[in-house]
This record gives sequence, C-alpha cells and structure tokens, in this order.
Amino acid sequence: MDDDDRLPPELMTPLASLSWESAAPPGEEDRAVRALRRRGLLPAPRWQRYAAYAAGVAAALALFVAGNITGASRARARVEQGDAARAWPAPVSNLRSAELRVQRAGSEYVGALVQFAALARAHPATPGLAAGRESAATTLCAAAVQLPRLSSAVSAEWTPCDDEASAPTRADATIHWF
Amino acid sequence: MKAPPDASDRALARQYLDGSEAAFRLLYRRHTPRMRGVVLRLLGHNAHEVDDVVQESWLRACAALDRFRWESTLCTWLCGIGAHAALEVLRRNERWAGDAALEFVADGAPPPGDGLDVARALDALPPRQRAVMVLHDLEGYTHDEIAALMGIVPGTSKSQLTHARHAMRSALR
Repeated sequence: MDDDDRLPPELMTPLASLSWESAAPPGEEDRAVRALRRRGLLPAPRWQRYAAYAAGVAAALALFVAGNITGASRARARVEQGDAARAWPAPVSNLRSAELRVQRAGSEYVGALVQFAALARAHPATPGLAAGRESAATTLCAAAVQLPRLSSAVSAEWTPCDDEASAPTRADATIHWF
Repeated sequence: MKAPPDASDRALARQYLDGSEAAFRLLYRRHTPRMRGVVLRLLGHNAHEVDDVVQESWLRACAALDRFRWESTLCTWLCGIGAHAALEVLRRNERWAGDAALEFVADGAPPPGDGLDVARALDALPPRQRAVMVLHDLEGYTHDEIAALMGIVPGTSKSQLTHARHAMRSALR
C-alpha cells in the first residue's frame, strides 16, 4: 500500500465511527427462505412434503374411484342397451329378413311354451303359473290378430297343421313350421 | 436436523447443503447484518433496493456455496457477493452517470444547516466515489480488486478515491 492508499488521519476517526452492521428488517429472513425454496435451493419443510404425498395419494384414490364409477355406469348402460336391443330388435328392411325373424321368433315362442309346460307339470303349485299361461295365450292372440294383414298370396298358401309329419320338409319349404 | 447455534460456519454450510433450513437461518442471522452494512454503504441509505440486493446476494451465495473453497472467511465471501450485487444495481440504474448528484460535497460547500455527519457525507458522495471509498477504506479491497469488481482500471479507482477523500474532508471540515 503506497502513501496515497493510506487513510488520512482526519478521515480515519470519522470512518471508524461508522456502524459496520445493519440489522435486517423483520420478515426478511423468512422472505429469503421462501425465495430459496422457490429456486430449489432449500427443500420444502417436512410437513409440506407429507402434505404433498397425502395430496398425491388422495388424488390417485379419487382418480381410481371416479374411474371405477364411470366404468361401472358405462358397463351398466351397455348391458341395458343390449337388453333393450334384444327386447326390441331393429326393424328389418327386406322381406327375407322379416320372414327369418318370424321363423326365429316362432321357434323361440314354441320352445318357451314347451319348457313352460314341462315346468308347470313338474311344479303345479308354483305361483305365476296362471300369469305364464295368460301370457302365452295373449301372445298367441296378438300374433293371430296380425295374420289377416299378410297378403292374400301368403294367406292362401298357409295351411294349419296338427303335427310335424304333415309339415313340408326343410329342404323344399319356404315357411318353416314350428 | 437441529443446527447448534455455536456451530462453525463450515459445519452450518455443510448442514445447509444437506437441506437444513435451520442451518441456513443461523448463517443468515450471523452474516446478514455485516453484508447488509456493505450493501447499504454502497447503495446509500436512501436506496430502497437494499433488502432486495441482500436477498439476491444470499440466493447467489447459496447457489455457489458448494463451490466455496474456504480460502477466506465466509463473511468476507458473502460481503464480496453483496458488494458485487450492489454494484450491479448501481450500474443498472445508471447511477454511475449521476456523478453530479449532491456535488455540494465535492465542491466543499455543505448545505445550510451543516448537519452532515460522516454517514450522510458518505451517502452524499457520487456513487462511483462512494463505492471506491467503501470498498477501499472500509472493506480493505485493493485498487486491483476494486478495478476488477467495478469494471474500471486501477488508476481510475485511485483517482476516484482521491476525489472521495477530498470531498469527505470538505464535508466534515
């Protein structure tokens, strides 16, 4: 240090009287801690980390439950749709499909009646027997009401039969007998 | 992790680097008054950026603490960072150009009332002169170090110091 660098005596005392320290205002320490956390220079406090874990677990659970509920309701809706579709098949646009549907429905009706009759014989005291019988008769009547709507050509060809032996064979038949 | 209040700076720094908030708080309480004193002297007591500069200095120090080689004391290193940050603010605000500010001190013509104490006389110096004087006469920096810190040549630092001392003598006469 040369002479020019040396602090002149007349300034030495005044400058020495200066306070070297200055206390930070209240709150600055916390502000610094927050700033360090924001920049990732200090990890979050333990309770915040636990809260973050808990929030993550809660979010995962909520997601799982919501997914479960949504999936279940969609599956239920799909099943109901399927049931509705089975109960009310979509209308067909051509005669051949309509004819096939009549055959299928007739076969199902007859098959159901056979099963119902067998069960009714085996369990004559079962409640609902009368209702089943009425249902079978009502369905048959409803079908009979629809018959006059068929064309005269079909009506002319239609012959009631009493047994399977008098029915035409499957190979040459255009109408399948029940 | 609990940091003992009488732990050394080095131990606290290690604990801070391991994620201890308590260790940081102890270091902060221990060294902020000194660092804030330097920043306050450099910016002048009217500067409202002092606390922002102190905080920014701590952020820089914490980011670089793992690279600190402990060849000086932590306090000296922190004060250097504070001085650097304060000089950046002065430069950014172009207060270097404000050498005309409060020129009455340099002219040796104190305002009526003559109530200037040494702190106010120092604050009234033009920023560049004040910075050189604070760093040289109060903080013990050499002209070479000041020149490097302020981006000037050592000769400029010397001349600024001469002007500052002259102004201070005039103000305190």
